[in-house]
Parts: sequence; structure tokens; C-alpha cells
Amino acid sequence: MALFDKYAPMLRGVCMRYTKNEADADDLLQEGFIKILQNIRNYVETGSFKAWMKRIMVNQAINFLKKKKQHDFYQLNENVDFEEDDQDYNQDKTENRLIEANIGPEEILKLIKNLPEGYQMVLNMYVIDGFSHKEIAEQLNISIGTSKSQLSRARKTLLDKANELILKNTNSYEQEYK
Amino acid sequence: MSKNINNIDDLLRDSFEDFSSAPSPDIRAKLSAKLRYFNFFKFNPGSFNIFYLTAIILGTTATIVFSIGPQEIKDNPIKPIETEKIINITPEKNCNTIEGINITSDFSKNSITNEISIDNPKSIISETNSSENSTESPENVFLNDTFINQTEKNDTGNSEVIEKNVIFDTIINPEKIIITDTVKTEIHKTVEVKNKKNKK
Repeated sequence: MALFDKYAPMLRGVCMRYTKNEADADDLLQEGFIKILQNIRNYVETGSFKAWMKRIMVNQAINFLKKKKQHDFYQLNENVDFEEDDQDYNQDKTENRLIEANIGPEEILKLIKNLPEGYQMVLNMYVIDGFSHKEIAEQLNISIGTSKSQLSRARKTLLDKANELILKNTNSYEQEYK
Repeated sequence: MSKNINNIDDLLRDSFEDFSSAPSPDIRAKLSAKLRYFNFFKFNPGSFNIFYLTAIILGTTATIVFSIGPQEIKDNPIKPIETEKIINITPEKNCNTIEGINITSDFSKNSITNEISIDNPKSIISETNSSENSTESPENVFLNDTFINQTEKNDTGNSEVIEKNVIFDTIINPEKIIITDTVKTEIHKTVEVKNKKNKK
């Protein structure tokens, strides 16, 4: 259990990104940790032990959500065909605001949790956990195109929500000074 | 374009690279319980598990069966029960007389054997309807389901033994007649009938 005491907070952080509530995160943490202990002999000491545990936890999260059938992918097999230039311009503006606003991980996590399940999973897997679109497609039984479109829409939705949050914070800040 | 997207991605990566969240206090206890459960059902020579429990139960059961089982037999051996009855069957109409039959039940053998020994084989069967006591040869002695060899007179007036519903299709050695429980029951019935008649 010393292993649990040392790595449980880090692994629970992973669980929190993939689930919608804390109860699911705790369940996932338990299942994932049992999996880690069962497979600990298979760990090859060439890579980082933390990265190995994270990978197991992410795989467990995918299986957990598959079991719960929570992930629903909007517009399956849809290709990315929207105007990227305009979107990039808006994303750039919002991103700069986001950095300036100094939004912390907890608030970003709230924004990610408010995304639809499919967006949340693809965003987590691709951006934060380093999966390729091919790997995501294989893991989630979707096409690579769907994975890409889900990611693009996830980014856009996240930035829109971040923009709303920044505007809300700015308005409340201005009202305080008035 | 790529740079902008990567910036957003970098922002997310930086935010969650070392992100941690303290687990709730009861998680540790729940996990310990789950681990005990999994370890119990997993074979591990170094720890007590379901396989050892099963082996212990089977061993204990076998020990009990093999130690107590023969002891009970020693305590309560099957004692041979010998009963000897002399049955005098009063002949009914058209029935043969069977007298001096000794029935011995022997339980000491694997199977229960009822033996009927006949004091005087030649005087067992007599014709009651005939005026003279006739002695049948042992070859003419049969047992049927009512343990009665009925005799009928033929047209010439001579009596002859007629076999009806014969259980045993072999000729019984009059000195040692082996009967079944069915026959024994019939004998008891006959004895009861006789006793009732005697009382009257």
C-alpha cells in the first residue's frame, strides 16, 4: 500500500480528467490500481514507471467508460471540413486571453468535464496523454477521421467555454471596481 | 496555424502534467478489502487462499468419514438375529397341511436368509379332503405365492398337486427350504388366521 500512498494522487488526477464525477473517479482509481498491482511484474524497467502506471490507468479509464457506455461521439465518420482559418484566428485570440486570465488547472478541468464525453476522451487521449489518432481510433473503435473531427470540435468548444468564463470573470472584475 | 493549436495543447499539457487530486479517505480501506478478495481467489503458495481452504475442507471431511465411519460399525455391529418359529398351519379347504416348519432368519450373512427346516418332510403335505393320509414325495412339494399347494380332485377321485402361481420354479429340497419375504408374510398371515380360529 506504500505504492498507493505515493502514486494515488497522481493517478486520481488522471481519473478525474476522464470521468464526470468524483465517485466514478474513485471507482476507476480502485480498478486501475488493482490492474497495476496485477501487472507490476510485467513492467520493464526501460521506461518511466509513472508513465507506465498512467498508461494503464488511461486504458482502464477507456474500458471503464466503455462499460458505462458514457461516450457518445457526435457526427460519427464526419471529416474535418470547416473553415480552419477563421477558427484559428478566434482560437488564437481566446488562447491569449486564456493565458492572460491565468486560469488554473482546476478551472480548465471543470471546462473539460463539461465537454461531451466523446470530445473529452479524444482531447484527453490526444493532447494530454499523447495517443495518436490511429491509436485513439483503435481504442475507441472509431475512424481516424472521426477522431480528428472530435478533437477539433473539442478544442473549439473548450475555447468557447473558456472565452465565456473569461468574459464572465472580466465583467465581475469590472463591476467590483465600478 | 499549427503553432496556435499547439499552444492550446501545450497549455493543457502544462496544466495537467503534474495534476494530482487527493483520494477520499475511505478509498484506501476499500482498495485493501478488494485486494484481499482478489488475493484470496488467486493461487499463491505463500498465502492462504481458496485453494488451501478447499484442500483443508476436503481433508477434514475425508478424515471424519474414514475415522468415524468404521467406529460406528464397531459400536453397532450387525448382530445375527436368529428366530425360530414352529408354524403349524391348519389346512383350509383343499389345502395341504404343513406342520413342523422351523423358520430361521439369519442376519449374519450379507443377505438375510430365511430358512425353513422341516422336521419330517414326508408328513408335511397331507391330503385333508381324502379319507386316508397320503404322503407326497418331496419332489411334489412346491411353494406358490400363497404358500399353499392346492389340491384338486380329478374325475377319478385321486388327489393331485396343482401348481399355481409358482414363485420358485425349482423343486425345493424339503430339508432346507429357502423362502422370500413375500412367502414369509404369507406364512404370518396364515398363522394369524390359525390363531384366530384357535381363539374361537
